[in-house]
Amino acid sequence: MRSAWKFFSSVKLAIVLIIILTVASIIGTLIPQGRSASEYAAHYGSLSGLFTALQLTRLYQSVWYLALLLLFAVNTVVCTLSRLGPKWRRAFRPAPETDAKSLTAMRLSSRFRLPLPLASARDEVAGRLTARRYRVDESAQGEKRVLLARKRRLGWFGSDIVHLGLLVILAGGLTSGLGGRRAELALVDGQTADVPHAAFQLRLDKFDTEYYPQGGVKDWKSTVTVVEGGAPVLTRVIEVNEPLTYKGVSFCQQSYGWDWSRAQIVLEIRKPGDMAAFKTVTLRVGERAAVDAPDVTQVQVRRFVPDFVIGEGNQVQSRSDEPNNPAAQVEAWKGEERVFSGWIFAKFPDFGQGHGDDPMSGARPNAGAGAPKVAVILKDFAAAPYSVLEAAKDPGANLIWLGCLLITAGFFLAFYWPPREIRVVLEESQGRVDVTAGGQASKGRDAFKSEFDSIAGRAAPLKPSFAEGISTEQPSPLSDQASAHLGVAARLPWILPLAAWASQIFSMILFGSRAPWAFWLALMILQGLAIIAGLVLGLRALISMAGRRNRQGRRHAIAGCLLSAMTIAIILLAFLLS
Amino acid sequence: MTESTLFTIAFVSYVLALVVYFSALFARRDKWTRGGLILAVIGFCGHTAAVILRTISSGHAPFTNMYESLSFLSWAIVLALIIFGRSSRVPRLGPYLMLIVVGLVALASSPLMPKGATPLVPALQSYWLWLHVSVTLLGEAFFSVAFVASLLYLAADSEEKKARLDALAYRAVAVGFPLFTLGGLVFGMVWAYRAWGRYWSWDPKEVWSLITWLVFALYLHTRIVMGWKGKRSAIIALVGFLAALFTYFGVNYLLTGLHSYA
Repeated sequence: MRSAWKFFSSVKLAIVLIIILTVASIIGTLIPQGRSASEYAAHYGSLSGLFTALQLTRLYQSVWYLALLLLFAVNTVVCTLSRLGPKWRRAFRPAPETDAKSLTAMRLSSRFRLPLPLASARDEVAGRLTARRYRVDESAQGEKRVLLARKRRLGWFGSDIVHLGLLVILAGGLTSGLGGRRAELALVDGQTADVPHAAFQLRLDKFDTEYYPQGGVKDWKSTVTVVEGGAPVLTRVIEVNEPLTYKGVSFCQQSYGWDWSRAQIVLEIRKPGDMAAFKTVTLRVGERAAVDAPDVTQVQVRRFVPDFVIGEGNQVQSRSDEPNNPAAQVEAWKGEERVFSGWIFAKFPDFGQGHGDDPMSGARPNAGAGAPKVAVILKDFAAAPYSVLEAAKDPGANLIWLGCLLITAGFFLAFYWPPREIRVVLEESQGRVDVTAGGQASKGRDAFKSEFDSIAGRAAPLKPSFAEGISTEQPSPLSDQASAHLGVAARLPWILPLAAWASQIFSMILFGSRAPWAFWLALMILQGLAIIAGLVLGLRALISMAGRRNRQGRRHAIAGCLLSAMTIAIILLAFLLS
Repeated sequence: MTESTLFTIAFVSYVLALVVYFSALFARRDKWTRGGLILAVIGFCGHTAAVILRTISSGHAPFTNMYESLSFLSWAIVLALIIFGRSSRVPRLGPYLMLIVVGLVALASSPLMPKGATPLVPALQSYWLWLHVSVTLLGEAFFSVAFVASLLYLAADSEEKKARLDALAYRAVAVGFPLFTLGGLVFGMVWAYRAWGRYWSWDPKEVWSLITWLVFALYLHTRIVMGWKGKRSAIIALVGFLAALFTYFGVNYLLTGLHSYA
């Protein structure tokens, strides 16, 4: 057990697994996935057996790929947990550092003296720290006072939150894989179908294809009604990118097609060489119809394909569902005598006729005689359009969104919320207080250095003569007060428009089109206020800062103005476009 | 002014910026790089106007075909250059990044790329097009900064330069990786769920963005936990950018899948 824990807690294992997963995933993109065995055999020859045995043809669903993902998940859990304990203690139950010497060994350190009693010196230092929003923990050790000041402690857990998010996503994928159900519903107008794995039905009221004025499909729209217990419950329009979700089942407009197997065919029956005399017959595929012509009494359409092609084994197939090369297999009789049999083509009316023998069926039109007595032409065809809706029940989806949220939050914490720590030891000697401070931050060291200096550096340097001149009443002339107290207020100019963006994106993910319009209106008003406030606050800060030296503050204000102005520009653009 | 005029102005400014940057490099006058940056900013303004005009005239997001997305990607790379160019104290970043930009803009304006604005196919009519593509391409632009910094790292001679380049590459990944994750994977999954009813289909483009993500995850883990800095880190960043590039270009031309339109 111990050795298994040790094995899985190694980052090297994680790295090896990431590399293997990467290579495996690449292989999966090089070999087309999920095709038929004959396609692999045709394309890869003898290799195809190997591919099938190694499950390379369904690689991402293969046992070994899933096993790799499972190993990766276990590795992530163990790695994260084994590092979480020390981090947790460091963040929430730190051991105070009492030895002043060890502080000077920290990345940033300084020593200075304050001509104050111990209690006032402590208040002075702690005051500076809390003004910078540090959380100060204090402990007394005899004559010493030890301060431990920290902020942004959540930043230590950024990577752990990313890992948690990753695990939640893997769990979501597993849930989808095990509990997910999906089915395609192909419906013609007016048709009602049971929704698989659900206790209701779906009726297609109307299927529409919208076109752009210059051609090209603009949208496919299915007006559907949910029928529950025989009664209609709600009617919605499903279009591409606008699914309907009802009781955990989502319906997406997936594709469309024509019901060619029940196509309506118009045939023209002629006598070769006599263009004037012809008869028109309308019939459905499979039907046999009577014809009132001198040479033909009955005609039948045996089969219809919209996109004729001769596939494997000389079998007639349809290459696609589009009417690119419509063809019908037709037979005609005069009494008991079959006078015509073969494939005719809408786009090549002469083809089936000119070539007397039929390569597909082996039968000859007008078998036995010299010239064909009858010509049959495929004049027109029509089929009912149907809409294909994908009904999906995906219990893992919400876990996926939760995982995505965790990963995003974790990235922010890991990269842009670096924890900072300042330790201070105050020792009283001869009526004055020796202050030793040490600080460390994992990232953003330049910014941290200037903060550290404003707390424990420049304000009171080591030179006794200088330090003694500083009293608590007068702030040091050197400390940059304006930038020392940059609170949330200074950051509001960019926080507000950013919050507007974030709220928009979150609402879109969480509610989509489901939320009532009043919600969107309220949200829009709030966002508008936030954006305008961001712009106004930013400009006001810039104006009030004019001529003063405050780089940090100016940066926040400029960022706020730019972000707000950009947001307003994008909104105006969006209005112009719609 | 029309979109193509503005685009040409941007192209010319970028070429001039490239010339100034490289003359600064060869003449060893670091101060001249400022001129390159100014020209790049001028080009960037023209480019921005061109992208906005394109959006207005076509009525949809400016990244629905290869020409538009190349144009937007080069725009994003110039943006990344403006953000990092001043603060990174790496005078060579500008010239080499501008080389990539000019290459991409030249590719975009080549006759091979159809420039006509075609109406949007139904699958692309969604506000997620805006979020998914723009954020992903921004992330890839920052990967290109990491790529140039890593290449320069491998060629650099002094330790001081190397330290700066290593730090720059890491900072670029620290911006690009979260953006790529959010735009490429998170927004992509949300959109896929709305459009196709499934958040992940193992489509080659999806798999390749996962591969890119894994490579940069490798970069961060080897660097932060195992302390691989410098050469090995630089090589992983190079591989990561190449994977991102393949996700963007290669998948469209070499593999087939659901992302066939862009």
